[in-house]
Amino acid sequence: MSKLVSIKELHPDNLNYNDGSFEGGVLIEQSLRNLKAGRSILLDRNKNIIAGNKTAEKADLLGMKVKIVESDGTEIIAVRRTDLDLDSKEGREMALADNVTAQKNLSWNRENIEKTAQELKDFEIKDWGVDLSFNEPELKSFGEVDVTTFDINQTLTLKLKTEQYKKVVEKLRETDAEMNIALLKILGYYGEV
Amino acid sequence: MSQKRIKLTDLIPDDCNFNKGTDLGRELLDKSLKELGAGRSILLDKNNRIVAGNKTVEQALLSGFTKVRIIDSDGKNLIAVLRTDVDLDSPQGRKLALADNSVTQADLVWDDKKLADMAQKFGIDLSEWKMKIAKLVADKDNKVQTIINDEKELKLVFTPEQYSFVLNALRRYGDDFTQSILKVLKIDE
Repeated sequence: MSKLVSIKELHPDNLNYNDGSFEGGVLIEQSLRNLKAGRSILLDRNKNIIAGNKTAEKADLLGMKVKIVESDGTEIIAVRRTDLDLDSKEGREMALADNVTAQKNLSWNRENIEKTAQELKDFEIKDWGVDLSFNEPELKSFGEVDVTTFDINQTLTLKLKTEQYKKVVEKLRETDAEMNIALLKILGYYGEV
Repeated sequence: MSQKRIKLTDLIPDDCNFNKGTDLGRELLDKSLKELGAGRSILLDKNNRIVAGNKTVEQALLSGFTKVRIIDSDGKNLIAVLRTDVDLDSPQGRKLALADNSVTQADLVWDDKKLADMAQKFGIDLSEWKMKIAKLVADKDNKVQTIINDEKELKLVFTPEQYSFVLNALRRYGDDFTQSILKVLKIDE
């Protein structure tokens, strides 16, 4: 049986693909504080955090410890909250929190992803549904120039309902091109892409 | 912390799942489970009802997984699944890190109706979870229903020249660029 250890014994991923967001961090902390721990995080054999870096960070701040469960990946593991009933306010909020924290906290780190893609031959991010052409969370409004990185590029921000969002992404991914390039082609752009 | 194994089919799916899932999400889940093995855990309530990871279980069953190992917890501490066969700095480890984020993103489509119903039933304040509420409407029985605004932002980055071209091209379809994109791509509003 595994023992309880300090979260400080775990090693954060120094090449994390997710920068996280301020709002996401607030929600993760809120979820841990109000609903306690939910599904597990994921470690490699050397206790490097593969998934759940932000969760581990916030849990440590709240004084939690971690129980490590070993697995070779051939079976599904389920954390069963013995104090939780799905059909209660806490249960439903936990179901909501699991999705909403993941959604709000995702902000791809382009540099880290590209670095890995250069180092590993077999690392095609598109095979995993990732498209970096639409991830500039710091930009707040339509057409705002990214002054934080002195980037002269400009961002077109579209506000879509989730169903529309999925359809737009699907359409723009029909070709192999990144979505910004796909849109340019659809609109008949003949310049350099 | 007790651990035991039961059949995956003994778990009870959430009949009011807030996430509808997507075809792409399902495809990526399948790929992830088959190529990389199981990642972080799912979450159950005390009655073996699936709180989080309903789609994972569905796909795991289709991918040939049969058993689930149960780890009981009171939530006071974090649980970590340690993959004894994986190095983070290996193709498998890096793909697991990528997939954990990308699958979640690709598979999430909120079920507004179920979310609104549950929020109302249990008195959940959705604004506390940064979920925007668009409006309150009355149904045919004059009961007020909450409709969730599930707006998502899609950001596309262009060079200044490309950006200018895109704006001019979209203006041909109207002043609202989002609506113009939907028209261009022939997507119903």
